[in-house]
Amino acid sequence: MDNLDTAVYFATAVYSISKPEFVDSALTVFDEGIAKNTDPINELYPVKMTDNLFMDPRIKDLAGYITSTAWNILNSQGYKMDNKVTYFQSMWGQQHYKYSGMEDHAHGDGNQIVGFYFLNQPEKCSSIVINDSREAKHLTQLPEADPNVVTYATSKLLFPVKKGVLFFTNAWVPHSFTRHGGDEPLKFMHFNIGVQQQPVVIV
Amino acid sequence: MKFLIRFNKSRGMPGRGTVDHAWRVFDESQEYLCKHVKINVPSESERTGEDWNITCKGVMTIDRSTSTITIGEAVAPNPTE
Repeated sequence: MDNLDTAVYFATAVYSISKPEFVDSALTVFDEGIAKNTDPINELYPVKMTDNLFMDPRIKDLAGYITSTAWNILNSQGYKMDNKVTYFQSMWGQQHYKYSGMEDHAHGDGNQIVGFYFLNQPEKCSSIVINDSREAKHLTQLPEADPNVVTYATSKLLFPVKKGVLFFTNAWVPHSFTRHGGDEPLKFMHFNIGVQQQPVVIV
Repeated sequence: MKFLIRFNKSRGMPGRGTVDHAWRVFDESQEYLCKHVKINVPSESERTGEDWNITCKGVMTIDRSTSTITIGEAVAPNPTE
């Protein structure tokens, strides 16, 4: 093939950073939240979830880091953010038992950034799956020559779970988790970040 | 810092101050609503989209007792202090 000039537009960005310093406090809040959920484990969907956790003062440093990083991401992506603030729509814990997973979904309802904070890394645990959001590409998708190689033909990407890692992407990016294969439950927090106009100061 | 000053067309509506909060003052990241504005620095008009502003550069002070925003000269630090 000739060496064509190639330009890549409409890219999908995923971000991650290791922040192990938040794990201990987050795990304390997480475990308390899971303990409050006394519902029996559903055999078909073996997962337990907590209520919203972002207001807990013990994880204010984690929460502040997430909202400021979400603002920085949107700002760096080219959105006009100088008169806007990011805030939590939700942040809750998920404890996935063996064979649990998460089905493909995206977050609407005003969310702009979504992400995860991983509190452990059990053996045979789930992987994060990022799915291509371009519906027309799905409809016209040819088979991939090698699904193990990331190419323009790739339709989904798998990322390993790592303890202490924060993972961010845009809320319009569909995501899921593969089945958890370990006996030790997988623990993480899922968060949704919205954007609103900076409140007016009335003098 | 640059400031924009504009008439508050939505004054009296929820979240937009009382009917007396007639002025909108914008700095680079924040909007303020107040009843009175004093501009003690050179100023000029400037158009932003469909809106016209008075624009000026200076330092803002807020007097909440009178709901007055004043834009004044930046005071240079005294090198002997």
